[in-house]
Amino acid sequence: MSALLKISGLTVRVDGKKILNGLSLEIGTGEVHAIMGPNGSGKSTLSKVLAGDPRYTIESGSVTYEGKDLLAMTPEDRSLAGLFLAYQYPVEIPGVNNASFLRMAYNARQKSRNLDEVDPYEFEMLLKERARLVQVPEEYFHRAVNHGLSGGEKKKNEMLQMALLEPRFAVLDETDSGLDIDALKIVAAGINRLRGPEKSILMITHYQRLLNYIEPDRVHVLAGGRIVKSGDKQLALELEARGYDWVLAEAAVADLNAASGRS
Amino acid sequence: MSSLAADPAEHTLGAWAQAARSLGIVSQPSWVRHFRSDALGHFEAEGFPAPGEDAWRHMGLDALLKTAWKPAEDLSRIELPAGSGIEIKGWEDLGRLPEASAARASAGPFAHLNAALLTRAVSIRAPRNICCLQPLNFTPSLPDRTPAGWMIHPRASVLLEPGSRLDIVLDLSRLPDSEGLLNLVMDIELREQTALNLVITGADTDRILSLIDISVLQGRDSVFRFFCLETKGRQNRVELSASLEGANASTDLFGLALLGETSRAFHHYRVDHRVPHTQSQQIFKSVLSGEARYEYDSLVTIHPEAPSCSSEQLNKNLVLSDGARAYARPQLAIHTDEVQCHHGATVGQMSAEELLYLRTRGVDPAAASALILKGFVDDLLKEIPVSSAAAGLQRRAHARLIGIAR
Repeated sequence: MSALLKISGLTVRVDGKKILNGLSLEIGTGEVHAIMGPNGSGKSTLSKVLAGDPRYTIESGSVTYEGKDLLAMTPEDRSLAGLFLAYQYPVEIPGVNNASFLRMAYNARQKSRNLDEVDPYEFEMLLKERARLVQVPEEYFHRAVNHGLSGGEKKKNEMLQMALLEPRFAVLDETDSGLDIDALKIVAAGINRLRGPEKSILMITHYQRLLNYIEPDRVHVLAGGRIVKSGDKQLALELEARGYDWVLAEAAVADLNAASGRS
Repeated sequence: MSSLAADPAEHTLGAWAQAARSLGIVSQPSWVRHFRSDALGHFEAEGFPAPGEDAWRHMGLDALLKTAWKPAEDLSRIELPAGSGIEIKGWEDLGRLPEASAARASAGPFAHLNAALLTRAVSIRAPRNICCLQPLNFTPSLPDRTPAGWMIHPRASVLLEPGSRLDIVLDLSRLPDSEGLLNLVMDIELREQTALNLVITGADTDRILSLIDISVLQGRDSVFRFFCLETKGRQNRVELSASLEGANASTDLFGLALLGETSRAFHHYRVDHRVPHTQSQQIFKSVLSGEARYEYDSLVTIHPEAPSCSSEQLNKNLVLSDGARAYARPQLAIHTDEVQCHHGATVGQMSAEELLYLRTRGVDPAAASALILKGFVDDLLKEIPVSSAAAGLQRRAHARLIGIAR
């Protein structure tokens, strides 16, 4: 299967500090991958770089999406091409009506596909249907974007956006953080409804519990800015039971062997 | 006042005084002549503010003093639907100074000049228990083809008798697009259980200097709500003072300045809580681009004899360009205990984080900026207290936002 997303040797700095260090990863069409790793390993940096956050400096490496150079695309073009980042901390935008924002985002997508833009009435119907799909209450529509919402409500609002924009490739950055078990089940059920043979997902998570509800095809451990171990869903269970230290130790040994092999 | 004859302000002072004297020969009731000559005396005694004086340091006086303004025919109109019960009279038809003007506590140099040079003076009176639901439109204007360099000094004296209610829309957008000076004074007296809503639509040209001086005296249970929209102006100065002198009097002041290019607006507010159980609220916002300037200078004073008052001042400014400046100065002087007062101000750029968030949803940067700016101003546009004027002001504000965000 050809890779939908291919990351090769990606090295990234922020404020002069190297956060990603030669990271490589391939995600095929229809696949669900999970990236786990200790704090500060670079998980969120990877999600921001994929979304196009200009604060991160790409030092070397490449990212191709559908065969195109993702890093050369603007954040809006990445979105219109089907990439969606569900934020770990969704941004509050006081005063901006959620429904107006969502209609603008939806119509931008329609326009990019040479489809007719939808009027407010049509859009409201569509939004109601998608909100039911991810179990988001309609009261969210007329509030300011993420403003005054709890952490869990913000995550649900991200799911509503995902349901509306139907991304081909979704990056879920610690979508499980800040959710109680009931909210986690609702959010996970929503994500599962949005899965499909043409859609891929990259889940970034600190804990294994999200993976109880959304089963990944592959699990990767990110440490020191690169993938140090990959496996199937059993790897997640093992990490949950044993922590990260043994993986980090294995990686250190591998690094030493590689270094001595070179010397 | 400087005594140096070489001071350019001194020459200007003399010229303006001469202009006032030349107008004095027009036939007017003797009390109007006395009112004007008294004001001229005050003006000549006090002079212009000294260069660098705190209240004028951002606006400066150069633009005001370096032009030889000529008094022009003042066609300022006051329109009110028939049968409203509101009385409107020119001062020439009154036998004495209107009560609201008589109640005015103090006046600065330009208010004195307004009195000395009066080009049009009207008295607006809402009799007891008259509630006027249609707004009174006060529209300063001049004849077509008035030569540049004009000045007019209209004055309105507004009295609301107990139990009355009135909306006033002061519309400066009909002034000609030529160099000129509008120096307008409004004296307002609100007796007990009255409500006045005052909306100002600022000038629609960058060639006019406008000085708006409003003083409000509030009695028991009176409500004053004010909204000012600024979209253009060479130098627009608003000085508003509200004195809350009756229990449960409340004042709400709102303003929005959406300025680009070289537009400048300088707003000075003074609210005095003189008795217990009075409330005031102020929310002012600006969005600035180009070389625009906006000043919000506000002082709320809670006097010693006025415990149990509440006051809020909030000023938020979005500065979109390196050349634009916002000057925020919310001040509180509290001389008693048991009050609830808050004040705050922010000056910042558009949030890069908000912009990126919208872009990651496929919204292009220009549309994302417009959406954020609209969100920034829309909560304030809901506060326009004259409902019939609200839609027009909202349209004007949104159109201006698009212009200055480019």
